[in-house]
Amino acid sequence: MRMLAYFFIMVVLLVFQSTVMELFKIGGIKPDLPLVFALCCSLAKGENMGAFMGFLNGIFEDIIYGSFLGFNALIKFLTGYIQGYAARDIFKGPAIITMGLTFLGSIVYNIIFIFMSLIFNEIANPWYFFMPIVLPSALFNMIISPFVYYAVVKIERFFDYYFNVKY
Amino acid sequence: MLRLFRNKRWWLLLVVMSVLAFAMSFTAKNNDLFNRFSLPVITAISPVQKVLSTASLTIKEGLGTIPEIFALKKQNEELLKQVRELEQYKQRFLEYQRENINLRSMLGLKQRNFQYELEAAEVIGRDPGNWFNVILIDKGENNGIKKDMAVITDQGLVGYTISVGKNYAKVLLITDDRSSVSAMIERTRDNGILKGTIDPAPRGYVKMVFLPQEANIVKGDIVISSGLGGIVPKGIVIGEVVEAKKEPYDLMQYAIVKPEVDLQKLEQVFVIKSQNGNQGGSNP
Repeated sequence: MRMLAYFFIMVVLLVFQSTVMELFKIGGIKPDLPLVFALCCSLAKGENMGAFMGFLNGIFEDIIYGSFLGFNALIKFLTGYIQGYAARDIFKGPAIITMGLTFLGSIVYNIIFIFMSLIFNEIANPWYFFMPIVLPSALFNMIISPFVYYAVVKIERFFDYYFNVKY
Repeated sequence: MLRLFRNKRWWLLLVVMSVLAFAMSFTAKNNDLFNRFSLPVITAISPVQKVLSTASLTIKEGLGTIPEIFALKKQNEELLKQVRELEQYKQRFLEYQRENINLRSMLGLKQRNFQYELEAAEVIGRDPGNWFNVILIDKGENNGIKKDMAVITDQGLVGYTISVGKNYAKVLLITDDRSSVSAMIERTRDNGILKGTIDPAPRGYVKMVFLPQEANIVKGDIVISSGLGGIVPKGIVIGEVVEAKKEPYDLMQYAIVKPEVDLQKLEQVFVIKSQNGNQGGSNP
């Protein structure tokens, strides 16, 4: 049931990302809300949850905007897993830690994306875009991460109460 | 190393990665199977996306007009001046058109008809990431839209369809790195290929490559589609040259082109279904 709820949240975030987030575009770059949500889930709940949320985010992106299944799913699955695994023993209380980890997670995502693009020949010269895309998008993601992390913690508390305590 | 392989988690990770790699290679070859996944999901979310997309564009346009208010008077004067000039051009154009028809009929050439059969569609979503430039429109196979049909606005070329479902189509914008359109410089008639945002074109611009070294291209030249390649009909405005450079160790030169259409503010587009009775797009 909890997974179904997260499934629904991810769909809503993806619809939001492809429509409303256009308003927050600066210089052609916008923050990746579903990715930040997946990264925050991996920080709050560990690598398995991060990988699952990354996978959900990626597979929806592939289905709606891609031309084949699995490209974004694999990239975001790996990003969620790596983020959760690497941040296992780090204390995630202060917002600055969340921001730093999200920044690094976004960089990891973009590096995996570049490698995958080279393998699948999706983009001709992805390294050229490292500075104009990777860094600004990672900074954007970093800025919104404390709010998303706070939301993830609140959602988790609500689910704990609703699914474990109430019933 | 052995300890690593004894860990169940690593095996699970490997299995998921293998399944996804298999899914990629399988669905890349089998478009029908991929559309079977896409159709129910896109059909389910498209009404919500349509509403949110329209709302966000309205807000974006509203916010954009606030700083413009102060420049409106000056802009109005300039536009009135432009209208007067364009009226003169229009008269001259009509005269040339009449003359062209007469000359063509004298030479026995077939009349060229620039009328297209268009299908209006609304943009209901954009690629959520920052890497690709794909939009989702609310018309598909049910409206006669096929893969590889040109998509335009009243200002010029937007892109072409890359995947079509029953009631939606995915459009690859000309600024996408994977996009490639045959184009020509209107003034000099030099042909080239228009590629998406690749080195060294800045983001949002396109690069016209394979232009002859001796071509005399200057800033402000209009780029139109050449009609070669069969996807985009000839004569559709694509953009304006902002910079032309000769490649030092090559026989070619390239031009950086600013698209005529503001691709960030797309709301409604037209899909060219056919021209002169010839159906566009690729047959399924």
